[in-house]
Amino acid sequence: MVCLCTASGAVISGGALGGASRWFRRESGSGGESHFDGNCDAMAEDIRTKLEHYKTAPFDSRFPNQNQTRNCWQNYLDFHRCEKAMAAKGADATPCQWYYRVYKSICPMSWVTTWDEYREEGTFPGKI
Amino acid sequence: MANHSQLGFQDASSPIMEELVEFHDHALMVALAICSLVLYLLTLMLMEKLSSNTVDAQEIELIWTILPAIVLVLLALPSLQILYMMDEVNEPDLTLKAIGHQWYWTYEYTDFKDLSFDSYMTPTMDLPQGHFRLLEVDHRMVVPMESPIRMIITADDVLHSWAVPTLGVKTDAIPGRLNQTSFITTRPGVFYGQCSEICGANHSFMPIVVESTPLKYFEAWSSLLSS
Repeated sequence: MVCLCTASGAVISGGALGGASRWFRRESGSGGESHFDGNCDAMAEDIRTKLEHYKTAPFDSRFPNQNQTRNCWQNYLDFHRCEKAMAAKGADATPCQWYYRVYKSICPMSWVTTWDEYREEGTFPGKI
Repeated sequence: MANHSQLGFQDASSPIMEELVEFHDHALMVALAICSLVLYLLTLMLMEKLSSNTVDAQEIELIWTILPAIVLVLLALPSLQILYMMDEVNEPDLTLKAIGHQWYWTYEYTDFKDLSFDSYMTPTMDLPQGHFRLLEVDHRMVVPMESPIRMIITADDVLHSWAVPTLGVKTDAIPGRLNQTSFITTRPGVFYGQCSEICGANHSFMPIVVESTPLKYFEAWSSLLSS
């Protein structure tokens, strides 16, 4: 599980960076303080390092088989949900770049273009 | 590529294909041994050299139960070994996408930049001397040699299939689905394949060409195409 600190100090946790299958949910009762604060800078550094050393989408144990359709779809959703959540909190959206890199690697460009158009039109079938 | 009237496999250019060729040779020997035994027994029978007044045949019953079981084990063990080897988790260095269309392939290299190009068969009238008819393409899929490559195969319209026999790869290209396969090229070279799922009038005329080169040439090629 990955902890991401927001500007207000509340903790948003989850995401697929460690292979977990939850998307963002707020830790209840975190208020303005969190005992994860000390770890958050280290985590942010980890993500940046991971992004710098990104070669290609790594093996994702959630999608171990031949059919990778869901892998592409999930990472596309996760990126846009991450961006939306970070924007709502006013936080740095850099960690969301992981999902961006993964879906860029796996999804055909035409699929991404089509989905982007659907999002603009408001007809995108996924929940962001 | 295959030569005319070639019966056997092309030389392997990936570790999995090497294993498959070995297994095939092994299985063929088992099949040859069984056929020889059957032919021998048939000959004996036709020459009336086999006793026909047996009532209680415990020993032979035991032999022709145990022996086939051993043969099956001899076949199953290497087969399963290769099957699991093909499914091993290997962290790829590169992800490539091959998208089938009527009647050409599109290759996308999007790990870093958005590099994408179409690959059409070279028409025979434009084929330079000495090149392979119905196999050459205008833009080959270039890969770095000895690197694990992840391929994502899909199609844009109808069913196609991306196959390169020397790499031991054949994966269906299905619209709306991303099929993953992987390979490592053991040596530099140019490897040919052809679309392997009927897809219309020019199904036989949308070949696949993979060019495996050392990393520095691959990087130079991808920089050239990205610019």
